[in-house]
Amino acid sequence: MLAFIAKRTLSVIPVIVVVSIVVFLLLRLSPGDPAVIIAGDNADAATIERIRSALGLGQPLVTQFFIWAGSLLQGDLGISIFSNIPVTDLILQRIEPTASLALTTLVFAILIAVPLGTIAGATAGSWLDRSLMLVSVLGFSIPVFVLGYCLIYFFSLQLRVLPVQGFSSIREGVGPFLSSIALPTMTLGLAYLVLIARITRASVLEMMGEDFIRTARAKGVKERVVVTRHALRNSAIPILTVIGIGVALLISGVVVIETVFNIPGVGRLVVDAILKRDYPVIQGVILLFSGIYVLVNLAIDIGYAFLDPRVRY
Amino acid sequence: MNGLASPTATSVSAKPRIPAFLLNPSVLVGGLLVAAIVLMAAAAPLVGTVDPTRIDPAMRLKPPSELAWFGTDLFGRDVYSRAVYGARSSIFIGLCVATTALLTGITIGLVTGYFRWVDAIVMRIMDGLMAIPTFLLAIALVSLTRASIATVVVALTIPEIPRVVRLVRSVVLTVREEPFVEAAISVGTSTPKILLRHILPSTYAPLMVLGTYICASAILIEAGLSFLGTGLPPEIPSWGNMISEGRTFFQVAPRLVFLPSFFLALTVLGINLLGDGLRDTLDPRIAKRM
Repeated sequence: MLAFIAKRTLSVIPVIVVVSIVVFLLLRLSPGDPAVIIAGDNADAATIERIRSALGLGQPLVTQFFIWAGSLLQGDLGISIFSNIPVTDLILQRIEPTASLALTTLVFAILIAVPLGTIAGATAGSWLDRSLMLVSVLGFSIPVFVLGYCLIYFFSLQLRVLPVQGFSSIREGVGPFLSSIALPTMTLGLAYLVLIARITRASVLEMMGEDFIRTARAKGVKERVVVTRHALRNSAIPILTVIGIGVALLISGVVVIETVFNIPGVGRLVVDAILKRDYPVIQGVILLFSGIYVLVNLAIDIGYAFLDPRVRY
Repeated sequence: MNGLASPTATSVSAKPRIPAFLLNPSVLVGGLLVAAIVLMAAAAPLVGTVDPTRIDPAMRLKPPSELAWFGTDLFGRDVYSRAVYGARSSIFIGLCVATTALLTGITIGLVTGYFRWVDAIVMRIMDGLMAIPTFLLAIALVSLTRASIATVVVALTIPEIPRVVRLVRSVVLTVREEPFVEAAISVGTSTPKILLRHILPSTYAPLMVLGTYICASAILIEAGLSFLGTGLPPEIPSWGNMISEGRTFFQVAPRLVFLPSFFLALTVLGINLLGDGLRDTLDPRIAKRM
């Protein structure tokens, strides 16, 4: 078991190395002088020079990379060009709304998707199954911001039950927190929910055809128990996998959703940084999000080994 | 299930055969939707539109009327005409990205799948690229260059390439061991010919499906980028730009956001339906590869 965990953990290192090289090269290999790109159209020579020296752009590429990677290993993501605040601090200031939204979305999507997908898979061909499949194609086709505006229009402007925009921390009370996060959660959660529900359905449906299901039924196990204990339990691995892969969907969604609902999180931070070409911040956020994505999937892979001993070999 | 249905379907007489995938309801509905949008884009000047870029300060934010079916925007431009012309940008971007990503991915995938020594290096790079969420990578690439159609296409293509490479590689790895490839090698066929003549055709079906998904994803991401103000230049009528401009007035004139949103969702829905249908009819095993 330990050997498996160690092996799987080590396999993450090349991925992280490639991600950091890509993120590093993004700016350096772009057409034109990076310092000029960052400074923008109306910059004077002094500003361009200041940016060049701040990023160490005068040195050879390889030297630049090792200096950058060295400070990265110490948790130093550089300093924002515009606010002069360390990127790590900027991210820490903004992490709470984003983390809250990600967690509520995760809970919302899984709590609805797994039961829904299980019922659909166990009753394949029923009206519930057909409508789930229809909604799932729709869920993949509606961009998150479009869905966001539809929900705002309905819940905030027509029914007037939820706030249009903004974020209220959980420390200011559970009520305001929940009402401010409800619409962003539903918006961000739909595509994720649909993704998980589809895989749950497919996997449960596949399991329902297995011999052990027939055996369970033959020995008189109740259908409910057959579905939950036998079919769903054996579908755990594909469901967990898709929850991990879907984190990429959450990350992309967060960037857009925080703009739609005016939430001061990390997504908003990176969008503002992009509009201002504040490159250290862009690099920092991409590294953070990719790191989270890789680590979540690592954790899930290790989780398999606990769920299913066959994986260990 | 498909195995049971095929004998009856194929044993029928001399009637010209309709390919099975054309009879799939998903393909039909999706195909019709896509055809309608493409037709609308192509015939944009003929479907009751005016110049989508004409600015008219006297007509700012006017409600729908006989002159402007869906009203006008902040600059007095006709919302309906902009939405119709917006189809051109989206379809163009979707097609360009899908074609470029497929061609690049096929080349890399064939080479990495066939030559083992390239494989290890290239696949590590692809794994790394895939670890960066698509939207973030695209947004970072776009932020480095001046906004134009070309840069948006490049920025959307790069994150899609690893998916194509992985798919092509997985097909190559299976096909490479087939007897007919071994036979070709033994009679001294040149490597490029083996790759192009004997291996490449096996990738067509799954690539067609992946191509539709890439097209849909590119259209969605372009709209997202334009929505955030980092996509196409604002003067180009595109659905993302329209939604982005309209969101400030969302509470007073939701139509500014809803009309382009409707077209956008409908287009992506059509392409996704087409892709799902093709996947199910061409080869059910494709789903496992993606």
